[in-house]
Amino acid sequence: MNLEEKIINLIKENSNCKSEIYRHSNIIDDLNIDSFDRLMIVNAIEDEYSIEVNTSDIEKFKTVNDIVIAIESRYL
Amino acid sequence: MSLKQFYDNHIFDDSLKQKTLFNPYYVNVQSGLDDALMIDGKEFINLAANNYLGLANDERLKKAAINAIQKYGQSLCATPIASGCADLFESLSQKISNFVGLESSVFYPSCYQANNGLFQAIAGKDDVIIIDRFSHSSLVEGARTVGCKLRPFLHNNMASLEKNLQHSSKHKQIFVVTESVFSTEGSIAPFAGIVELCKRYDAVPVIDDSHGLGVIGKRGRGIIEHAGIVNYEGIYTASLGKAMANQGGVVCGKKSLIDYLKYNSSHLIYSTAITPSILAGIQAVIEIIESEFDVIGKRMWYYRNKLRDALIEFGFDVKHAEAPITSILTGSSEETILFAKHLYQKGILATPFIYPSVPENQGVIRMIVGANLKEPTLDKAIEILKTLKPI
Ligand SMILES: Cc1ncc(COP(=O)(O)O)c(C=O)c1O
Repeated sequence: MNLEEKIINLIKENSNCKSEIYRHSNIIDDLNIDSFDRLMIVNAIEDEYSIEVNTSDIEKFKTVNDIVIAIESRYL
Repeated sequence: MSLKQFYDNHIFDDSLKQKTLFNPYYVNVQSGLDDALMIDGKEFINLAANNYLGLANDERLKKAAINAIQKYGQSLCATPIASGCADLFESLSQKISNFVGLESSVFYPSCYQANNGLFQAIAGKDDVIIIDRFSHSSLVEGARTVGCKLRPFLHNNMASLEKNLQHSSKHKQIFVVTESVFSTEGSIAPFAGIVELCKRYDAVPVIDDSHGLGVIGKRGRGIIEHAGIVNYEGIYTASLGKAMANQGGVVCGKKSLIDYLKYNSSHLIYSTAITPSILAGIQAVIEIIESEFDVIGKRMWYYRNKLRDALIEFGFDVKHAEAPITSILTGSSEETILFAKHLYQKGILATPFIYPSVPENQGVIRMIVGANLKEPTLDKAIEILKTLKPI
């Protein structure tokens, strides 16, 4: 499973989101993910990759793509 | 920033009110919680209050409060650590501790304040707070202000909780925070299992039993009785403004911790003490529950089941609930407020929950039938709901 698929899976497992999730999905508008969901997702990503994501980065995540790119470029 | 800009930045967005021509909030109640509720000179059937046992307007409770006012006056005008503690404060804390099955208790002016103050007093930056993602705002805000790692877990989901516990060992203290009865929908936390998990991972459980105290458990003693937990070693909080029909919040637990809070919790120490008449009212309610829960509890459940069964028969999307709460899914915020408006126009007061209190488009109308209502009143409410059934 590549990083994108893994992150999409973690979003599914850690939110109440029932819609299909794509790389370009907007977290709030398309997936209805609130700040608590977002925190759960980021915690799960941190656990999965043994990393710590900065709070300032978390606030900037608007799309699934933003998460994938940030994790790939800054944390792995 | 100019003063004008400041005030312009803080204006309530009333677009929903404009769209629905209805505002269900801050209604003008002109009576106590009787069989009929008076609002703006009109009689309503009240399915909105958290008056589960229907005791808020009970004569015995009112008499106890009035007697306390005669003896102590309206307020002792001081914080509890100064001279605000009526002797009732101590005797009632023993009584309520015995009632819920814990060693010691302390009263805060509200449970919102208790939940906020608790974390400020016991948690620090190096800790982790693992919290059910549907927890009440008072718990969430309390946890957030600590500034420590916050780990929400999926609602009532033990696997999600355990996964979070597995990744929490590096923190100094681990807290697991949840509610007993989640009041928007009426689900109940699997608390016995949560306590076991906490033991395994050296975590401190914190349970908010606001909607469980006086409601669940064989004798109405709340979540600890309901879950059959003996020697609970965690922390317990509850509002006294719901089934307990008064006001204030209580924190119960080990005596050493309660004594610590009495000298270290600023939300308690620096706030005027809960008034003697309220303390007397709580005492009266505990005594009523001790002697009459068998009868009152049965009526509460009978009413709940009657309403729920009727709503299911009418085709409403009724949420599954383990507590005496009936919630129907009503969709978007606008649809939810409009449904509340139709009920209101027909003389029923119910509680709409809209985003952000619930996830977007998962609006809910919640109904709680107090055990004080007469059965014909509930029948009338059911007849009205029948006219509003989905097509
Ligand atoms: C679960 C829960 N905790 C705490 C509170 C706050 O309690 P209080 O009204 O006593 O401040 C409420 C509601 O009011 C609640 O529903």
